[in-house]
Amino acid sequence: MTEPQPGSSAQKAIRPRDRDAILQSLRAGVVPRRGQQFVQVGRSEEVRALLRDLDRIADGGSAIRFVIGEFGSGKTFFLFLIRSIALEKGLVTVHADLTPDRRLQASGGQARSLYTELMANLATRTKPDGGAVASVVERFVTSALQEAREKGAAVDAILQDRLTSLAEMTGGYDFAEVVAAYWRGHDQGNDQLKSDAVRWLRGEFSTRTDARKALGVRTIVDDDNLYDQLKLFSRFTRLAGYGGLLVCLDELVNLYKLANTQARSGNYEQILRILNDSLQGTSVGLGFLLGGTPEFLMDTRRGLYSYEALRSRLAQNRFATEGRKDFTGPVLHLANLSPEELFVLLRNLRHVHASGEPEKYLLPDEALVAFMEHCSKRVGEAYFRTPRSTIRAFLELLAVLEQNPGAAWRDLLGGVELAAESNPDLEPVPEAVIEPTSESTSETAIQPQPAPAARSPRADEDDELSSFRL
Amino acid sequence: MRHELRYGLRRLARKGAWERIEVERLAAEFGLMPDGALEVINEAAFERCGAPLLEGDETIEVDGQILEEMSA
Repeated sequence: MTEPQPGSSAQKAIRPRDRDAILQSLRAGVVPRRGQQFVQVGRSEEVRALLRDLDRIADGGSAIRFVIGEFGSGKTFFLFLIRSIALEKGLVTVHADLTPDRRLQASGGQARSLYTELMANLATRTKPDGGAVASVVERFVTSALQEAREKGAAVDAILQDRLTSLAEMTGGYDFAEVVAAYWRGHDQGNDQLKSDAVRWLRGEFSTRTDARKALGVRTIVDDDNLYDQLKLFSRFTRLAGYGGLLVCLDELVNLYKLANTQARSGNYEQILRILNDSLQGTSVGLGFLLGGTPEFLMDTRRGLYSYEALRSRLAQNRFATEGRKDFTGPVLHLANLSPEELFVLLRNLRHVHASGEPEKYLLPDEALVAFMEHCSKRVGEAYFRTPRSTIRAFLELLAVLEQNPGAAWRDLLGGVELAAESNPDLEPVPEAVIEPTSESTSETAIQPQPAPAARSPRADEDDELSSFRL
Repeated sequence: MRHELRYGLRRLARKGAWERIEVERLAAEFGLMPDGALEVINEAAFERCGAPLLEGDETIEVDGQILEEMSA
């Protein structure tokens, strides 16, 4: 049986807000934004490894981990869990899923779009649901204000002094100017200036002209400087009094799906740059968590392994075989859940449903075993390997029992319906023909490819791999 | 916590919930930035009690239990 996870107290009272967030999200088949520690099972070594990473980031160091797992193995849940621990440790977090329109490297605005999404989700411990850019800036300015009052110095001078270290970094001069503009906006009662400063930091200016008019700066966040901006922001979070910045990127399979070799290589090159900086410790207070499937990592034609410099850096430890594990490398392979772990998971869900009060449990342990047997008969081992459907069915069962006090679980169990989940990445690509975009001649391929019969000859010419379909 | 924030906290304790505009006015009265002040107060609450004192965006609610612990 799996041991309880660090932080997953089985006996702790659960706040109504956490309980509802967990149950509602899981019933809808999505990962809850808060309270993951009440549900998490197994993977204690992986969590410990990441805790060490988070401590290193908070200590001004850097970290990078590729969280690799099969479809449905709980990568996203794991990323959210680590993200919430990072917030508890006083780090700032940003997170986003990669999509065809959000990438690490692009020339048609997709990298800026990723940055905008990351910044919209920027969270602190006190604002875990995102939208915290202004809070971080204000915390920075607030501490400068206090110092200015104590020393009887001008706020501008204190701000300038504190921002000096940023101005020396790539793009740092304008970044510092924008933060100072936020203070001026506050000082002069100019809400527009404050709002423009936040918009700039969130990557929402699309032209340099607009940024210059609004803030007097020459640059904006664009496709070419996404990573430099993240480095600046991580430094800034430390200046504001946080431990650093954790960047969580999920669904990296979308890079693997890019059919255009050049577009794919450009993104892998960006990953290499981040990896090198992280491994060499040149980033300060900055960590990356990247979630993807085994194909994304190991496919030698299209995955990270297709890029030699990445393959050599990410190759598995040759001694970590036959059950021997190494949790210190940049790649973390998430094992699928075992039936024993699923049992603990169901117990945790029962506990959360009862708000952490054992006397309110609606089911005995015996019912959990019977439920698992029922699921096993219906969908085979998928019930614990990809447990999303199992969890949903279990929570529905609890909901019915709660609202129908006379109902007996044995009577309800036979009616529990569930089907094995299929990986959407392996489903046939829709036949719709996608209109090319302005940059489509060089980077079309992130869009679903038309079926062979509908594919144009041009698509084939674009890339020798454009016919590839998942 | 600095004295401006402590005074601000005492004022916040007078009601269970505040509209955003009221918090902005209160912050201005003490020469503070509203989001910065909320961030610092909640950080202090986390350090001391493991949970935030103030939650919400449009309406900001004060957690009575945390307030009691922080005032103790």
